[in-house]
Amino acid sequence: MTGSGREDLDRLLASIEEERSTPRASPPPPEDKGPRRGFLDLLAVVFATYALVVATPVGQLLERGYNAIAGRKAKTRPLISYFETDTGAPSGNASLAQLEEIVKPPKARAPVSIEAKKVGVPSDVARALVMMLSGGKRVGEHYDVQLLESGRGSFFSVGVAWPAPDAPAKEREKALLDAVSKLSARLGGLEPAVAATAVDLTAVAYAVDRARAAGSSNPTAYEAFGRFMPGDLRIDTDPLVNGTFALVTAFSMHWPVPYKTPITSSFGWRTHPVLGTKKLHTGTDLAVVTGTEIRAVADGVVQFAGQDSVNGKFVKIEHGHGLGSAYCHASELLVRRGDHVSRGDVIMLSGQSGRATGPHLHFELKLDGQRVDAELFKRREKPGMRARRGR
Amino acid sequence: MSNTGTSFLGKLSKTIGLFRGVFLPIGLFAVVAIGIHAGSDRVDDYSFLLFNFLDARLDDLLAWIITHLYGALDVSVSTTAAHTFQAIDFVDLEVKAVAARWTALFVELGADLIFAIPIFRHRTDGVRPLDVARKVYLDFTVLRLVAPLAALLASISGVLIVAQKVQVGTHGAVADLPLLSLGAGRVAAVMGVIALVLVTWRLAIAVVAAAATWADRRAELDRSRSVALRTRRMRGVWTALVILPITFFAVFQATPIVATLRALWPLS
Repeated sequence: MTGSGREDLDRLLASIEEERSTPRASPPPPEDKGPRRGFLDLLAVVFATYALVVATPVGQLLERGYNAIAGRKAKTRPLISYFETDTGAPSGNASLAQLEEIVKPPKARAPVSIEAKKVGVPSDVARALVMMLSGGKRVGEHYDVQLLESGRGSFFSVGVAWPAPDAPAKEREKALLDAVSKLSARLGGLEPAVAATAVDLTAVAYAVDRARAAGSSNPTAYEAFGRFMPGDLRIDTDPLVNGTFALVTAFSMHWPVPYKTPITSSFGWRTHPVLGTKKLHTGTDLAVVTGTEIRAVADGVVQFAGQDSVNGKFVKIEHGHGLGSAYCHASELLVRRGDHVSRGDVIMLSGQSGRATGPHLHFELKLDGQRVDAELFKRREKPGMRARRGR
Repeated sequence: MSNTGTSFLGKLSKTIGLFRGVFLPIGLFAVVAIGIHAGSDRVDDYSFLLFNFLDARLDDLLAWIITHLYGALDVSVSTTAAHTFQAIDFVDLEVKAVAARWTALFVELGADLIFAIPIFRHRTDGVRPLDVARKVYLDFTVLRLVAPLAALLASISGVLIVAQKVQVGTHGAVADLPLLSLGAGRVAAVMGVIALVLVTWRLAIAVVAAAATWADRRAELDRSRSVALRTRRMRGVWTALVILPITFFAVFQATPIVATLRALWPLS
């Protein structure tokens, strides 16, 4: 800038300052109403601070500080759990972490399945829910279902009396399924019904109503109505709803390759074929020749389609509620990140890219971030299944 | 119309107003911090993709180095393969996902530090939008342009989230009260709308004004110190690089404006 240009600029800025500082003759300067609106300001600040505390990690840090000063003990979420996964299921979900022992599904003809059929609740949902609420603990043929205290109001609202604590497990199973059936009819879906077994029915009904008003295409999906539920209630509903429906999806999943494909290495500890050391094998290896079609095991969204040096070309799919699957060592990928896939869609062709001693599919299943043995969920294919899968 | 200057409420409000300097900055900070958090959620997604890309490139480099180094030293093929796999197996998907979340958290806290905190320290009375625009035009600095814009974006997101949280929180609080339970939805909707209007009027506008004031003071300080023109104009580049994308994500990706308003307005 030239000297005269800079002087011009200085003059202009000085004139603005002068204009601002000189009182105007007409109209008179407005009275500063700020202090007179102190109450409104305080209310606005209270609203904003409340939202800060319930919705952000910064808010939680402030709350932790306050609790420390006040000597209070309170339940807190891990700070990184505020960054949700693509499915809307927050991380740090504790209940599924305890599923190691209960992940093995009961037989389809278990008493709980028969009772579910009577009241019109899908068998997979009934089995998953009783496992979540019992921690897999059984008394004879029935699950030792324990209801969350906060969910009892919902049972009362739909006219189902919760049996006494010493009542037989069969009665508790029956009461639970009866209530789920009635709650599902009242709320318009199974996901809100399951949520209402953990918290008050009113809050769930309101959240579904708000999700509908917001224009959600599927307001009874937990992903949609969950964000309209108060954060303190979600501490109870997140693990129960996500855990239940992750199991439901896993129960009904199809195998990524033809059912009779040999398994060359199962999930669990093994001596690594290349490293020669004991290592946890985090998936299931299936012997397939290069070019075999690999199919998505359930509906979902492709979270990743790319490659690295270990997994080679691989695809990762999120199926919702914290259930994910990964398919590794492809020769060619047929989907891209963000694609919506349906159960049975061909997503890649097998190969031996990455760390592989030969052509095979390394298939992984994850529940709430924990790798689980996919073979536990392998279903016997019914006649005609192959035809339906080849969509 | 009651005279707010003499009524009890008026006096109470005026008394509370004397302490505005204490509590108002908290509100300004909260609105900006909530907006920044909404944007940081997307930083998590993008960080994961970035880490995965970088890890793949690093794996390639490590594999190349080990293969060539061991080849020169005549190490057996199986040892070379084993060491290569160990090196590239160091970072798995889970580690990258967790790292992405921590990155998002640090970006959020950093953004609060360089943007939300400076803003809440500034008084906002008497800022006129025309003056702000004229100063940007006559004495351009990056900060003068970016600060009010980013504050506006963060406020839009922040206000919507505050309204939604107030609505949901109110419903949870009144649903069990005997007299209010039947109209809990309406009470919650009204409170949500009140929060939307009040936070926009008393805080969001002030946030933008405070951001402009901050940028203005910074520019004036530089002028008084006779900082070189180029340095002065580039003041705020780092803030722009960090804050602008986050606030952009907050409004255009993380906060569904129309959906939030639709969920707020119906009094049913």
